[in-house]
Amino acid sequence: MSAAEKIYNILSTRQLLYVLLIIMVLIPLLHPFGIPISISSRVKAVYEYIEKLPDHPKVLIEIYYEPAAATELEPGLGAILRHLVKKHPKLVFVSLIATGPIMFESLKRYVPDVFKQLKYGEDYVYLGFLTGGEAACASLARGIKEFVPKDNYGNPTANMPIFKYADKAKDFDLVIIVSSGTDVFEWYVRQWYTPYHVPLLFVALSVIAPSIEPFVSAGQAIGMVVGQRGAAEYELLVGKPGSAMAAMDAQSFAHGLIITFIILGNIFYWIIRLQKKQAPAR
Amino acid sequence: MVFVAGKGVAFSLLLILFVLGYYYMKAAERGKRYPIRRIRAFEAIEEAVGRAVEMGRPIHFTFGYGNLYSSVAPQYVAGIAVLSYIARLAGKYGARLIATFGVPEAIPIVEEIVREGYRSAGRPELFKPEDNVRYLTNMQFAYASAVQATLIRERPGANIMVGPFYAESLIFAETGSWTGALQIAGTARETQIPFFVLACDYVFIGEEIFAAAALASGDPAIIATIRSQDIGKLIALALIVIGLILLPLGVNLGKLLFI
Amino acid sequence: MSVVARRYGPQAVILIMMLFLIVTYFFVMPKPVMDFESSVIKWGSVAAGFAMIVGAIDILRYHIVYLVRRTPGQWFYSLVLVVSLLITAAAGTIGIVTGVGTTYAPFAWLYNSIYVPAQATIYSILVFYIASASFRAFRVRNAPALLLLITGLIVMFGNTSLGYVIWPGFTPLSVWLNKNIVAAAFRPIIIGAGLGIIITGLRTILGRELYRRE
Repeated sequence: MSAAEKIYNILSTRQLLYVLLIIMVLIPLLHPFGIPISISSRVKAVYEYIEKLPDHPKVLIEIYYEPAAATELEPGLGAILRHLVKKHPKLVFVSLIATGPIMFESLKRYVPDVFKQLKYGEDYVYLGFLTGGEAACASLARGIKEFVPKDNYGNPTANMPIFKYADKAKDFDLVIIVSSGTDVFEWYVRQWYTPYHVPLLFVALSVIAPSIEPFVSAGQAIGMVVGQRGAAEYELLVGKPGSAMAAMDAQSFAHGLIITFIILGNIFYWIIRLQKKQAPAR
Repeated sequence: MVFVAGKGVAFSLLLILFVLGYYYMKAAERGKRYPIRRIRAFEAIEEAVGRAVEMGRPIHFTFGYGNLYSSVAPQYVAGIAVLSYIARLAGKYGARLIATFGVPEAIPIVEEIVREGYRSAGRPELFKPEDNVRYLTNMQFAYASAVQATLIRERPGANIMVGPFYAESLIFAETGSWTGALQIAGTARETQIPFFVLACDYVFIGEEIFAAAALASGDPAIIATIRSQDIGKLIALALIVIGLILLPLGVNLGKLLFI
Repeated sequence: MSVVARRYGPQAVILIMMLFLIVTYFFVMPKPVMDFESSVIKWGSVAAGFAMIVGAIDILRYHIVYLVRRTPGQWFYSLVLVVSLLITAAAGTIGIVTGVGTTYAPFAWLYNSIYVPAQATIYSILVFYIASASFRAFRVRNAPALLLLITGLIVMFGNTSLGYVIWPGFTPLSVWLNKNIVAAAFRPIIIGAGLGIIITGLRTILGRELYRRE
């Protein structure tokens, strides 16, 4: 076995790559290097859109993720909420997924400064988990108060002041869908955008981005904030660095390691291939 | 009756596809045949089953985390049809089949499908429900780790995955590759297709899982319905081209028809 | 039950329900019809809830067999599973009976201290698998593979701050690739899958999907 083959075999050892990956993620998390990040046109467009919203915007926020995805989605939503709260919004939170209530409590712990500025029932409300998927999504658009008689905590919605301003789809200035899957984005496109033209904003995992990109390109959503990177950019724009900014260095190091392995793997693959080609001629 | 705003054209298209599908199905029942192109991933299933038997290892099949009551349900149904085919092959070759899944509603269907597969091949004695049919859990990552554990402990010779897959797709595919299984996978959830392409030997890309389901049935009437899918694609293509032509003239066909 | 009812009963229910949901999706319907539609959807959730009980029994059946047989390499895991299942079910039931639901302290502790970290751990394993799968897959064997590698590197660099330091153009280039090339590639897959779903729906309505074999 040639030296190149030996090195190639070492590089191909999964365990080596995994151990190095853990190290590369841990080091920058323990000692952040503060590598500068740029703001993409995509995130900037979302920021500018929210900046241009009128005062007291009415916003529906769909919390559709599980604990595993929270670390990637919560920072983006948190940064957007910090931006929105400056405009004294009316926020209606809802979940079409069973883990929603737990994630909403987690969100309140993540951005306590935002919720301190809002009064429950007047400025924000959480409807809780609603069963029925897309059908429930459609019913919400027709009228929240009627479809959801009680909020997540059992309070009747009939006399809540917030629903004077934000009840039917046409009352809303924006819908923010924060999701770890793709289906719910499509539900809101079909049930809120197509019939009522309510502007949609997607907050998604990086891996989901390609499948929701067509909706954004087609103008069915005003934009998207994607993954840790998008969240870090938004944190930078609102001037309050959070966990996404802190994790960006780790992401850079991990990507750097994978890229190094891919390039080295190719170099040795070609050395071995060329060596084998030359071998019969000797 | 009045259409919900923006849904009139969509309904007409749905109706056209239903009528065409029904027409081709009936034509096939009268004896007309509609050939479809070879799908390598489907052809590889029998090879994978044979390989597993030669190696003395079981065949593992799983559906993905999707469920039976949302827009991904048809993918689950396609997975069930493919499982039915694999179960018949397992019976034919005397192979041990392990079907794992995370939807409790599917337990009776999967059990019935696997039992029927062994029975139709004349080997009912090979069917052991507690071994062949394993409902794991309906929590995504618990299901993922349970499938992972099954792959590592059982070391299947073939790992076949067809259905609605989410983030667990790469966990399964990479573990299967690690254990040396011949892997065939397919999903119409577009975000997961690249992961299957990365780690599997054969992949059904998107709609191919529905074609595979039709082929698995072996029923010419079901296979014939694929023709209406193709006509649907032609309609979509025509709309794209017309839309492109009209756009410079200031007409947005998408908004005109669907919004 | 007669053979006819057994054979065609479930099919008739599927047919009626699917047609009803199609009609309420596409057409404006009076309020009582829409209320009934909401109820139908809720029936689905209730049925799914009962299926969970079937699922729990099935899991117990499977693992108790291993426990009784003391299957080497498996019985201990089965014991952990059965004990965990019973403790969680008990905590959840007490939560419901006492009216505090999922905020019942022992249940919340089980969820937040065991389930959440365990789920996050399994999810994060993906990063290792993506790394090893990428290492194998991004092998430049031919010209298209080289193109795939270059595109992959641009997107990876574009997603990180490191990429910006190396060359500020990575991020806009990555966004451009996603907006134009990736979206263009995904659209036909989405369209094709949508058509496949429609035709599978038709086969299901007509009862021609699964139990066709006579």
